[in-house]
Amino acid sequence: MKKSVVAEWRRYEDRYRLMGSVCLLCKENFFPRVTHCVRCGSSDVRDRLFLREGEIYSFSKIHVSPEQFQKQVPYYVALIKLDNGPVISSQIVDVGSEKLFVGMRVYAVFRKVSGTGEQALTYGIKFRLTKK
Amino acid sequence: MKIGIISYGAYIPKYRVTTEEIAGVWGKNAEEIARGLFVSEKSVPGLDEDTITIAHEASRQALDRVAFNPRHVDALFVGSESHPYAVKPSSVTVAKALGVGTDYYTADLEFACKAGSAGMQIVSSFVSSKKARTGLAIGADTAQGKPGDALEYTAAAGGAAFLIGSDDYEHIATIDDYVSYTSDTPDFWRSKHGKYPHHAERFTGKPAYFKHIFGATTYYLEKNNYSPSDFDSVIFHMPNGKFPRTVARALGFTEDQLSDSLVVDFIGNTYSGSSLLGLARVLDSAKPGDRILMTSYGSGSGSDTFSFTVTDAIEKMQTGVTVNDYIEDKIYLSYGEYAKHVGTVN
Amino acid sequence: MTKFGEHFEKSLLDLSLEATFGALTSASLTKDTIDAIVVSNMLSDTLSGQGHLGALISGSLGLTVEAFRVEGACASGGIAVKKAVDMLKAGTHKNILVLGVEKMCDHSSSETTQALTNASDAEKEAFYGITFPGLYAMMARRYFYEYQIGQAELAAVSVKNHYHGARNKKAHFPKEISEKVAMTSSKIADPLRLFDCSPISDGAAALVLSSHEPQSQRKPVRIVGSSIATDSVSLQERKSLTSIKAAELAGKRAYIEAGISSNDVDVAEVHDCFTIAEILALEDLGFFKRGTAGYATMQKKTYYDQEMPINTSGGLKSCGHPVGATGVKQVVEITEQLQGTAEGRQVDNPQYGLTHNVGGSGATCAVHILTNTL
Repeated sequence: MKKSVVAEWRRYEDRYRLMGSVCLLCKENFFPRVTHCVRCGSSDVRDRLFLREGEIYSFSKIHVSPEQFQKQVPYYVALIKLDNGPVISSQIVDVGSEKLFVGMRVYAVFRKVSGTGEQALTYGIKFRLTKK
Repeated sequence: MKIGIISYGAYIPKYRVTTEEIAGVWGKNAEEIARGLFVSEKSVPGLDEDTITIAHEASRQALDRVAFNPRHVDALFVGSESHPYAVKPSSVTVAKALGVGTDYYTADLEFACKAGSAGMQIVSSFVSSKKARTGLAIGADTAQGKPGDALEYTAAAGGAAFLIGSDDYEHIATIDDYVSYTSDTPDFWRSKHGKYPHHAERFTGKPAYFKHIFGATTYYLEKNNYSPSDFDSVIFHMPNGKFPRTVARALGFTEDQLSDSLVVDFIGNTYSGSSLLGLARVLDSAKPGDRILMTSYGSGSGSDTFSFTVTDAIEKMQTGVTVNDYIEDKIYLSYGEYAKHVGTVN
Repeated sequence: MTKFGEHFEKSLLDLSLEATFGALTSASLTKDTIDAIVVSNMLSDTLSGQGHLGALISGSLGLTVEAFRVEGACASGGIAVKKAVDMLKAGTHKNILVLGVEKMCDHSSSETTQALTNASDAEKEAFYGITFPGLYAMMARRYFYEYQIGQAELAAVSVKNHYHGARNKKAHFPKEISEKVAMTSSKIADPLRLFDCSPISDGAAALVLSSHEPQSQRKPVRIVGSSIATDSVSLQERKSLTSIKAAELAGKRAYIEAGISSNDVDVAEVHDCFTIAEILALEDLGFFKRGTAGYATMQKKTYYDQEMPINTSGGLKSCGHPVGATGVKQVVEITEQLQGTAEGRQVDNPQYGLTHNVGGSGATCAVHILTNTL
């Protein structure tokens, strides 16, 4: 499946900076950005830059992956609850001998997501374990 | 108008491979090599790291330390010899990820290992000419070491960023002056589609590294009527641990003046990040009033010399993550894993 | 239905016609009595470049009737059944062929695995390499955290479904397995292992739904509850990872329509794309209290001859999971149970049966309730 550089570009702001939306009417947070509030339907939504820290809501270690992620196997995927934002989907990287657990503190880093050589490179936010 | 460093940041990837591990693969004597190069391990980029991500992390630290509004960054230059694209600048992606607006001056830089310091000169000039209020100069690399070649032991990954601005901003160090010494010297090059660089072995010493570091540094000292003893710290480009120690002695600098800068001993040569990471480490423990001299070197060849004077504001900066913290945060890789990380095996 | 499995010598059309004529024969009907066709399929466009399946099937039967395809990832089958039910209720059609079909084995497993991520959120989940098993693995991890169960409860689901599948001639893997094999199989997405995951299979299943009395000799079976509910495609927006709201809602609405409660269900086919999914299903549908379905499975309560028979076909795990066919096959299995023809795995005198078909990580759920009572 070929990637669309245009589809990726639409999400630069969101994926590069952890920019989501907040509904001015019902105060619900979203990531990535939305044009209309999912909860109340209001179009009165504003950009919101979320804090780059959170905790693990759930996670899994992937051993069998799609082709473009094969080099990274095994890698951790996770649902992260941002401190001042919603739950988002991402990877947890640079894990050494630490054992992951639900509730563990993490912080955001800017990393390459996929693409090598001829393909366009895509970047996004991933997470690293917070040092004590 | 005085220009100066408002803030700085650094980043070294977590992964390491030892000289012993590499030497073992090629049937070489690890101890002998480590002794000769003063390098026993080097930093390796993560599978999802590249010059852009490294440049971003270093820049983000620089901005976050002083809670700097990225929209006030009017210039941003990433210098590297491992830009991910041949055409499409690393600088714009770094800028976008930081939240820099659209009204900024930028382009990517390449001048082997001195692309970072060249960026510092360019940003300093934009600020001095009042075209930019502040600018970020970043040197970052994920250097390519040919398997089995001598450079494999030192070609490393890392970067540092310097936020430079006019005196409307508080400086942690003033930028007193900068010069360059340049020539056309074929000591080290990489062709357009080549994966690995070529080097001219011993020619990379006297006629290249030493000549240009000497040239820039002595020119600077003469121009400003200084001698080596006027400085508290000195930083030289670090292709290995031997060259900066040799050139320091030859120029009349002491081991004490040089020691804080020697990141190479722990992580190898981060190319465009080398002298800049050395400067960052010196600033991590500098005292108000310290005078610092830095001379970079880029093959091809050229050297840039800068001098800085540390201000009282430095002490506020010395909390939080240091270059030493990055050095000590590490995971060791086997040669096979290292090969996967740097793309030798796909 | 056809046997589910690897059918390299049969095309999508071959499987479709085999299942279709099988259904027509058991309904004692000829193809010309069909006045509409609803096709369920997820991957034909992506993998084979063949869309337009409604007309493809209709044309292959020499018919010119209303025909179209529905898609809701792995819930496509259940959706197709409901659309046929709705059309019958509207009175516009009388004999509707519902056909679920999928060809997955013609392609490399990495191509197929990639195509299956269409069921998840491309921007939020597939973008980061969160595979389909990865999503359910995160649900399992959260379930372990909230209810303190582990690998053994998951393995119990797999062992039971293989026990049932070994008694089903149409199953992809009609072979019993031991708990040890399940718990030591290779890791896919921690904590899910190979034997926690349903396989990639080819297959087709077909039904003829009519609004008039059937002509065949078999006991008539009626659909008395039919409901679809949805929730966010991506897992990150769900209120809970340890229940599938779409399943709870579809179940509740179907029970109300049928005028029964979960206690009245005698046998059910639930969507065990992964072992954890069966555990969640049992709780979402009200068969067991929250946090207890894993233990109940270990206590063997869900075997075909026990108090709450679940997945007597072998489920997705053992019977196989040709994606578009599964939801339809579930109705075929329940029909056979209610008609007393589920040889080797027959539940004793069932009156009400339920099918539960889920799309993605719980974004769509279709529930049907069938009965052989008047």
